Amino acid sequence: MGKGIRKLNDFEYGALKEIGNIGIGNSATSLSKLTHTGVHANILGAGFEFIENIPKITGTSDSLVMGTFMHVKKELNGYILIFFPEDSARNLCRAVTGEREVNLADRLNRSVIEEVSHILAGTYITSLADFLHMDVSISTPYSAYDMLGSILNYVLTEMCYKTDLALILDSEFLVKENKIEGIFVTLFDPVSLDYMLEKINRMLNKP
Amino acid sequence: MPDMPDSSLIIVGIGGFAIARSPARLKTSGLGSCVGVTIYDRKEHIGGLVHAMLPSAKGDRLENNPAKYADSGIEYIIEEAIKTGASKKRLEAKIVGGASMFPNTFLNIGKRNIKCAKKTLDELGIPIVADDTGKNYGRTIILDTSTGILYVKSALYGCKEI
Repeated sequence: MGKGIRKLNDFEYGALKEIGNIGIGNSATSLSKLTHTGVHANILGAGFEFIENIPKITGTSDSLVMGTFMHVKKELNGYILIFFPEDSARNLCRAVTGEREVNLADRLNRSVIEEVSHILAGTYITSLADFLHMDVSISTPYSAYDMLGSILNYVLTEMCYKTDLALILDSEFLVKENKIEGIFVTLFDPVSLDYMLEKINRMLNKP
Repeated sequence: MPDMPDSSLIIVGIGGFAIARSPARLKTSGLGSCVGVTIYDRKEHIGGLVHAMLPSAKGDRLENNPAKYADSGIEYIIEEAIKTGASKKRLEAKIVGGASMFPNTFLNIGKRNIKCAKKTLDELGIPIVADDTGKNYGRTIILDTSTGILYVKSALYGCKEI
């Protein structure tokens, strides 16, 4: 069997979950500033898995969502996916633009979702990069209005082209006041996983 | 669309496959650029479904899962269907998926998946009796092994039978 097929130990699992927490926590703060309300964020799970098993962790569904994905580049490689269910996407546009009637097929609203997602992913990656002392950036956002499962499927297929396994950090956020909920999925390739763990170990072993 | 909870509904995951006899139904959700290929024997009412992620197993790094690839996946479900009692001569295939949901992606995996699935079926002499491929949206499919009907559902364009 090839390199990288292994289970995360308890320490690694905890450390990675904590990294995810830092990222999603900072993202939540950004979202809170954008919507002028309190935002709750939670880590749902973390794991290192065969890519075809990832839908078992995130869950999959035929529900219609606004999904945006971005590539993670430079010292870490992977993807960030952000899903807003239909109603949440509409409420988010309403909170940002102040418009009452929101048509999600409208190009302007698509841009709103893309830009908000880009800000959230940017905050996530920046806080992670700062914490681990790495140089990481994200691509421009790509969005689709489709089934959650299909959007995830598309990204997993693309990732699968380059690697068999992935680290997944699954989280969610919730804006109670505006009834906005979102799913935030981060995927990293095995090389990035090793690199992050190496950085963490080095930080802990400092005299 | 038969959507009631039912013990005879078999869910096939990404990079997975299943073979079943009537009256079971085989379902796979959220085909994006992945391709879903079904085979069916009308006389024996045996159906098979594979949800492949990539076109060809050639160049695979791990060789752990034939259903991950269109070519090896199709060969695999045909072999399994024959073991279950289907006749290769009677098998007919349908292809769904292979969408390009996002613009500006250079890999074009969807198109290559479709091309490879068609080529593989062609080489094996299995006729393709229906397809619903490409475009820019995701699909969920259910194969009813009692009739051979394939239901194709998309979020924005509803459900159809092929």
